[in-house]
Amino acid sequence: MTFPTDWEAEKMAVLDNQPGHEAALDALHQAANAAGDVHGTERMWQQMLRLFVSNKLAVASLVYVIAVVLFCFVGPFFYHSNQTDASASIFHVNLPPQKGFPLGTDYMGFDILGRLMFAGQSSLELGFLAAIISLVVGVGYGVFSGYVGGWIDSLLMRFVDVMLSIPGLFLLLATISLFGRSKVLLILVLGLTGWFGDARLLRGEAIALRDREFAQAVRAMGGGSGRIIWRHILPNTVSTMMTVSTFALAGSILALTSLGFLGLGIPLPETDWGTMIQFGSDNFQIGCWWQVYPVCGLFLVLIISFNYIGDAMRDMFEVRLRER
Amino acid sequence: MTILSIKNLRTSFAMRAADVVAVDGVSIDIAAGECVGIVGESGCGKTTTGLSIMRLLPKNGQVSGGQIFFDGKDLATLSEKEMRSVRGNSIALIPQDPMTSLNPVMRIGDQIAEGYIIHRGASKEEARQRALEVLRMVEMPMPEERLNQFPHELSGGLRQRVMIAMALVCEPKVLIADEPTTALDVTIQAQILDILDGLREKLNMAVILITHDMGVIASRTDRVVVMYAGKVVEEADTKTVFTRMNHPYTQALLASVPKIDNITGGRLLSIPGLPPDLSKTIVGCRFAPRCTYATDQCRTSEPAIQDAGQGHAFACFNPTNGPAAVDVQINTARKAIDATKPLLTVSNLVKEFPIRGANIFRRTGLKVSAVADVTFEVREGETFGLVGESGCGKTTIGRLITGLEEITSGDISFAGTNVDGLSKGARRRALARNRQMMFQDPYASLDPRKRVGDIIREPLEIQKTLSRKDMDERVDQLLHEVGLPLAAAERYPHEFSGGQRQRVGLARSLALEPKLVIADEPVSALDVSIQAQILNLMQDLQEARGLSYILISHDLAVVRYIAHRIGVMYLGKLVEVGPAEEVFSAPRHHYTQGLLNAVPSADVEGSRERRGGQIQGELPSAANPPSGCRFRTRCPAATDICANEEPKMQEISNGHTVACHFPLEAAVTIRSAQ
Repeated sequence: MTFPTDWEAEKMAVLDNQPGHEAALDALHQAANAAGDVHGTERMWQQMLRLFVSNKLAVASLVYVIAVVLFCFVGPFFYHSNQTDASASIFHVNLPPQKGFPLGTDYMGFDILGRLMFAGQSSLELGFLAAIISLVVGVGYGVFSGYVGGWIDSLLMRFVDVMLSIPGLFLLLATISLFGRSKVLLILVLGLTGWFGDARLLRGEAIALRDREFAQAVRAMGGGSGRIIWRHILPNTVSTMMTVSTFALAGSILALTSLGFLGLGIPLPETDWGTMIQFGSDNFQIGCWWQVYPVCGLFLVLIISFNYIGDAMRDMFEVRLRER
Repeated sequence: MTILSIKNLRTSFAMRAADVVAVDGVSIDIAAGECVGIVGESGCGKTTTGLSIMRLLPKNGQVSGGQIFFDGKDLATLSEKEMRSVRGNSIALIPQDPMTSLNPVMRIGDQIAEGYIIHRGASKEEARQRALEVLRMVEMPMPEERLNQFPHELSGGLRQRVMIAMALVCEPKVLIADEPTTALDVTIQAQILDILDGLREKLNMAVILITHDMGVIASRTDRVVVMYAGKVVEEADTKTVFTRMNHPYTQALLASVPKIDNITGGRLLSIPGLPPDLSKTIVGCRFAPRCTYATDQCRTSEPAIQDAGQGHAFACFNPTNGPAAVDVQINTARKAIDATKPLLTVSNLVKEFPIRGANIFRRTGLKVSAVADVTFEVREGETFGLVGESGCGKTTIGRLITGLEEITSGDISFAGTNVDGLSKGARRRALARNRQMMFQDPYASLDPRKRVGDIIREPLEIQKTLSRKDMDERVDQLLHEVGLPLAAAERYPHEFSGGQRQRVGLARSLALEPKLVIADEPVSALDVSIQAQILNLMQDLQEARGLSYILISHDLAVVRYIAHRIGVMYLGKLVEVGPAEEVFSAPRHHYTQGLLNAVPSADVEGSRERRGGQIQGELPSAANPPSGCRFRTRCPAATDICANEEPKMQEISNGHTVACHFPLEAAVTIRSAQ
């Protein structure tokens, strides 16, 4: 145990101002040695990282997700294929896998391998942006509602209850048929219809944290609500936020794919995995299996991976609390 | 006749990093009709010993050595099915927390009957009769009606009676009571312990009383086993443990307990340091690092338990003899308090909480009267103790003074502070500079995601009165003052022990150099040895800084030790205010007297003498307080006038006021004559 200042000098300084307290100060000095050592333990993030790594399924999932992202965004630099010029592709429609077309071609003659990357870019982009929107709105709405409490909270949460009672896909279809389906609109619609569950979760956390003594302590030292929310409640919900965002990402990619499958995905010339599956399944009956299996496999494993990662994160944060 | 015999019990928990041996080589014999106390600080293995006997250890725990003989069988080797016929039948357990140990959706009668049906194969009607019988045994008021009630309809004390009734339903031969009264108020604690005592005699049961409370041990047990870090360090009959103990730990533990008949303003002996980490291999005596008598031998080899005759055994190379010479160091530097200089004046303070209906459209119009017309003042450099049982409004007063709650009516004024005309935020900041709060729970009051340095710095950042560099200096200085190493600033709260966290909390509350610190149960979550460290520290800081404290506590001994003046609260009312010495030695209010009678003192003789005049019954509801004097429903001296007319606070001697129509006579004792 080390001390920052020269004890004797400090004592003299205090005594100059308040004579007669030598005994008290000496007692203080003794007390300085009495607290015992602070047990150094692993840093929080190290411990969490170790816990995450110990979950093999989650690590494999993470590797897969990174691989898919690289495949979609870096792949096209190494594997060139025509994905836009329909007048050139029209000569090799519905070809099975063969030299030049490793995974065959689709109904418009576009190369499937390249198409997977091309569609993946928009699916991932849209999914990611929509997840961010839903996270921001959900966290903001939930934390505000929970922190404020009272009738405002009741009102805000009844709205969430109403929205949650409407089937998600129906809500999506209704809004899209109202507002059309450009890329920006799809992001907004996906983001703004996906946050209700998150809001509910975060509201619960905010209520619990708001009444904790450390939040009360900030109040007692003169701090306001802004500080309590930004410095204390939000940092303490990070674990929930990260878990929620992983599931949100999976959810928005899945929702976008469902829309694509129903013919309401990203309009041509761009495309997404859902749209690929839709057209592929039309040709499934004439034996074009290569138009369905690769995209379905890629996409399904991706969604499952996200869920495994989310589960691992939830465990990781909970275990940290248990091992305290 | 020995009924339960534990031989060399070893219980370990499989943790991720290593195995933790929570109980290591513990041997205890218990005779029929005997009450054996197991005492020690948290983590010493006393609860684990109890759970090992019942074989109710958590999944990662197991009895890894030793035997537990009961009725000629070794419980450690029984099959799970055989064990089930022992649990609740011949050995029963009373768990610590009566609030969470009852099934909320099952009627009381059915819960008690359950064990009887399982073990005795009784019919429902027989079991119900038996349930009624045991409820009568535990002196449950209105037992017939209780059978059909649900747990939430009962208070904590009544629920604990139900727990005892459940344990007794099959007339067990051994009863393990794990901190049976820790969650209860002192007046209720006394009632419950009396019931346990009576039943033990009547049924000739052996009772294992597991507790950290030396007062409970002193007043109720025949024999005591003192545990430290998983081992038995001393074992003897109760009187010997308190008067002729041989182990330095027993001695230090007893010396660090604040006693109710202590003289105000003394210093407590505290045990420096922390108990060892049981996941690591320990060489030598486990207590050696904290022991004042330790020699090189203690640090290298482990003392075996040795017999000192007459059932007294201890494990120490350098035994002490008898209690520590407590030189009653009355702090001579303790300044005289200037009664004419009030720092804080609370006048006619009222706080009512509306009772909310099930939804926003249904207002009940009822309210809980948490604080009702309370007036007192706190002087400069003084510690004002606010005592009372749970629900008396003492915490609410603390929160009102710190501005955490809005006052319903009345006034709180602070000398030299004028907050008129300031904006809401500025007013809050101005108030915070004068008065700070020290919280009860050292685990909940520090943000787990902030470093300790940032936690202590936060009030400074809010107030923005210092430069960045001065803030750093202030944080270092505060850490030093509360006895923490400088490196602590970089650590997170979860890396600290409870006592260390409470030091961090104290440092934070002192960061703004307030004149008044409101300490709400500052030590009730800590072990006694650590509690003494914090209380001494609080006193030292008061001397060095000229602080005033409002000490809110249910623990009368703690308040007596540190407070200059004391206010006693009952159901939202202040019933007695006076100098600490006087209130304790010559209480004038019947409630204060009853409260003092209920506290078990940590010495054998005293605690057994002072049994008379217990407060009976339960605390009335604050939503519908009794008319007139609120204490009249439980007061031995109540008459008609008490129901009709509310007693006014009247000065009965210099600086000693009481609100009672029939105040007690001042007993002329040697101490008050001093």
